[in-house]
Formats: sequence, structure tokens, C-alpha cells
Amino acid sequence: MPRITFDGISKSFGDTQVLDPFDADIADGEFLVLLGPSGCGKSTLLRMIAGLTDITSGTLLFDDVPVNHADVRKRDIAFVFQSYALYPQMTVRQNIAFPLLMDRMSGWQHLPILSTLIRARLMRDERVRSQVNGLAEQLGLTAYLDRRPGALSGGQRQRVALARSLVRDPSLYLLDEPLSNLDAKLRIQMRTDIAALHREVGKTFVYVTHDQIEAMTMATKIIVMDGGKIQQIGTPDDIYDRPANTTVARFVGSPPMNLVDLSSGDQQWRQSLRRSYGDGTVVGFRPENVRIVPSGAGIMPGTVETVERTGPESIVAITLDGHADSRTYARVPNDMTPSPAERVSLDIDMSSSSFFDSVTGERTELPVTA
Amino acid sequence: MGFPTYWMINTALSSRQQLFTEPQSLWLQFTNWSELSRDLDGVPVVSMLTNSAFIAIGTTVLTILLSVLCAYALSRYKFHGRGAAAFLLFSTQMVPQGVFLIPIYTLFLGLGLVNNLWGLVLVNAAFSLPISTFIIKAAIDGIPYELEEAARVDNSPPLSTLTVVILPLILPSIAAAAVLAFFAGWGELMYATTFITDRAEWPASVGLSVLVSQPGVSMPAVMAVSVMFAAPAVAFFLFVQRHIVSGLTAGAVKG
Repeated sequence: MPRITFDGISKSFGDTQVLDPFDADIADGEFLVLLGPSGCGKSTLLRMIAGLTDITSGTLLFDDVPVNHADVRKRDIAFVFQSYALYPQMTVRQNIAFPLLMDRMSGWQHLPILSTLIRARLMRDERVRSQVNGLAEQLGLTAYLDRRPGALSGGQRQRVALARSLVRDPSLYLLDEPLSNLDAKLRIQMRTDIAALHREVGKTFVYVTHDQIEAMTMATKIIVMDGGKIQQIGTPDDIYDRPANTTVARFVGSPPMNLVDLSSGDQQWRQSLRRSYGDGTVVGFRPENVRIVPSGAGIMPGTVETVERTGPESIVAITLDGHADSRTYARVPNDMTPSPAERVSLDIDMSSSSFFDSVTGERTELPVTA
Repeated sequence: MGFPTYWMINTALSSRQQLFTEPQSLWLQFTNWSELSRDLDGVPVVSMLTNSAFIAIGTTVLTILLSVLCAYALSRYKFHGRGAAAFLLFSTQMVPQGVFLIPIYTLFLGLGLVNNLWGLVLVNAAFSLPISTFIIKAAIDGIPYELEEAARVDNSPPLSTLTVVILPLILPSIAAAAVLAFFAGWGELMYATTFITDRAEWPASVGLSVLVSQPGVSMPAVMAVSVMFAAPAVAFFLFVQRHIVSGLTAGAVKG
């Protein structure tokens, strides 16, 4: 059960730097989520942990032992591929049993023909059978054990892939967007199942996703990545409440954090906010920390653009005065929604707001005065 | 295809007299067996067919064995000169086979491979290898790379990854390549006539060409041998053809 340490890990393909050097330390038993938009290098990082992609510079340590050049097969990992990568010619039973057979076969037993006989014998082995059957039972695959992957639905394939990785009881689980091909309902169910699995086995999980809901619900620790850079490492609450920069603030949350740049514009409300928070500041606040009040009462005046009812509440999009190029979102109870084109004002809970430098985008800590 | 085959059988069953004195009957006749067996007397049919089978099977096995390994390397490993190796392999197809006849003959003379069926196996495999390699390489290219990565994660050594994970998926292409190699070995004439002078080592292709060029040749006998020469090849094709069906990769990755 390894503790994973990234020591100055970076990756480049030829001249293209895809991952800037970074350090991080992941405790044993952690559920780490690598979160970021497509092409940010998160899958590459996962493959580097697995040993499927080599590391350009830096050292990767499992329990303080460098594993940069350790073979994939020696790392004792499970890897769930985004595409599942099931063996199409094998039945579900054979797919799940494959890692067990390979663990039990020694060098010369892999010779053609001989290997076929030995695999057939091992498939009848009581321990292999009971392990495969037990896992199939647990994941609801018993009815499909003798089918081929081609005859299964996406969700079933996903569970077969999961079963195949679980069967060996590895010490580290790596999952590459395993839920991205599933429909919404199944995704929510599998999300819960995987989180439960993590609690049950107590091993370290590394999970790659671009879905921030998945990240927030499952993770004990999140690494937010963008453009090959590590943007923030922290707990889900850290990431949500105290984003390290405007990139994280924009990426996490749906709708994301509202960012109001105070460095330009000469409206009266901007000037008064500038006096309180400085003129090179971006104010960031979550949609749920906004209250819509009648025009003239709050801090930021604006016009309602659209109102989206999501069921339990509504998302109101507002264009602030002098801020026409971007919208500000408020999450409000259904009975308090204004109508489109109405003039309103926003009252913001400044104590839960974040502040960023308008030039670097980095988080700054300001004394809250308003 | 159908009519010439029928005519071949029809001619084989006619008597020589019928062929030369009257219009050949459209219908099969089964009355001339004794003349046919007399004409075939002294033609070493069994040894000819055995030799052909040895060459064809040897060529097929050697070609498939080497081209699977070669195709796998060309498809999956990155090494310096990969492109050059692939080009070199394919460029052998640009030169007529006859060009190599004399060089290979002198080479085989030194190696003791003249008048030796193994020599023909080697030559035919060498000529079948490029096309077979490219057929199989194309099939391996079509297999998602993740399958092999999954196998690595599942603790499978490269040998098992190739034989257990990859091979079953490229079986249709292997069957297609095997058909080509088998027919190349079965019907090859130029190298066989040049290299094999010992009558006992003649494959059927050589035997047939010698038979047809003999003075006073019996046309029914030639045709009878031709039928016997064609039948195993057709049988082999029908046997392998079942495997040349659409691939099995469905269900490997999403879709």
C-alpha cells in the first residue's frame, strides 16, 4: 500500500512540454482525483504513475522507493482504462480471471500450446473459480460470465473492467475516466459504488476525470491541472472555497465562481469596491453566496438576462453594469427569482469571497472590510 | 472458374481416341478408367503431391511464424530504421522473382540446398514474407494499443500478450496470409524446375510441366493429374476460408 511522492516530476514529448515539474505527496489510502479539462496532461500523469509512459525528469516514489524504471508488472497496480480495454475474444469469466492466471504462470508455462493447456486447467481451479464468481456476484455480473464483451452494454463492460482490475487485490488503483462513457443515471450509481469500494478496500486510488462533480463527491484530495501545470493541490473543500487562482475558480463549480475584475471600469460601484479592496483585485464569489435585492440596495447593480429553473432552485444570469462581456450567476430559491430584463442589485457575502491579483490571477488574502 | 474446371474433369475422363477423332462430349463419361490408369502408370503422382504438400505447408508455417513476429515488431516497437526496414521489405516486391534465380542457385549450391525441398521452402517463404507481413501488420495496427497495456498491467509477459491477446484477434488476417503463402508454395514452378533435378523430389508443378511436354503425351492423364493437383489446394482454401471472416475486435473498447 504505497504512499506516492512526486519529486519534480515532469513530462515532455520531444520539444513539447506537456507537464511542468511539480512536487506532491499522496498519503496511503487517499482517494486522489486528477481534475482538469481535456488535454491538460492528467491522463499522461496517471500513465506515468502506472509506468505506461516514461517520466522525463524527476523521481516518482512509492513508499520512498524510486520506481521510475520499475516495470509496469512489478508495480502491483490496477488500471481501469477509459476504453475498458477488455479482451474481446475472451468471455467475461476469462477476462476477469486473466490477471489471476498470469500471476500463477511461470516463465516456461507461457510457451504456445502449453500455455493453452495450463490456462484451461487453471480456469477449473477452485480458487480461481471462487474468486471470479465472488467478484461477479459483488458487481452483478453473474448472469453475463459466459458472454463476450461485444454482447455487453457500456455499463456492464465498465463493471467487467473494474472486476478485472479488482481480482488481483493490488495496492494501487488507477482509473482513467472510467465513467465517461456511461449515461447520467449509471454514472451517479457507479460514482457511489467506486467511492464505497475505496472505503471498503482502504487502498490508494488515483482517479482521472474532467467532471468536477465526480471529483468533489469522490475525492479526499484533488490535484487541479490545466495547460500542463498543477494549479492546486488540496481537499475538495479547499478547492471549492479557497481556489488558488482564477483558473481553478473558473473550472470548479457549476456554474463556476463569479469573477469581477475591479481594475477597470469607472462605475460608482466599482470605485467604491476599489477603495475597499485595492484596484488590482479580482473579486470571486460563488453563485450561492449572492442575494438578489431590489435595484439600488446591494453592492453590484445589473440587469437580469436569463432565469434557469433547475428544480429545487434557479440559476439567474445577470449582466453587471459596465461588465457586458461576461455574466454573473446567482443561485436563488425559486420563489425569489426576478424576471428577465429586470433591474436588480446583488448583495454579496464578502466574508466567503475570494480575492485574486488581476495580473497574475493568483489568490491574495485581503482583510474583509465590507 | 466453373467451366474450365468441369472441362478439366471431362477431358480426364475421355479416352485419347475420343479426343482426337470426334467432337468432345459435353457429358462426363465413366467408361475409360482402364485407359486412364494405364496412362498414369509410371507417373509418380503420390510422391509429386507429397513433395508439393511439403513445400506448401513448410512455406506457410515458416511464412506465418516469421511474418507475425516481423509485423508485430514493425507495428508496435519504435526503433531506428523502422521505416527503412519496412521499405526494404516491400521493395523486394518491386523486383521480378526471376532476377534472383541465379544468385540464389549459386548460394544454394554452396549450402547443399539444391535438389532439396527445404531449399524451396526457404525461397518461397522469402517471397511470401513481405506481403504476408504487411497483411498481418495492418491487422495489428488496427488493434487498440490499450489492449496490450491492459495485458501488461495484468502481469502478462510479452509472449503471452502476443499469443493469448493479439493472435486470436488477427486470425482472419493470418488465414488470408496463409492462403497466399500456401498457394505460392503449392504452385511455384520456376524455382522448382531450376533447383530440383532429381525426379523423386519433383513437386507436382514440375511433374505436370514435364508430363505435358513429353512426346505422345496423354491429355486425359495430364488432366487427371491436374485435377489431383488442384483438389488439395481447393480443400485447403475451403478449410481456411471459414476463418477469413470479419474481425473479432468488437467490444474491446467502447462503441
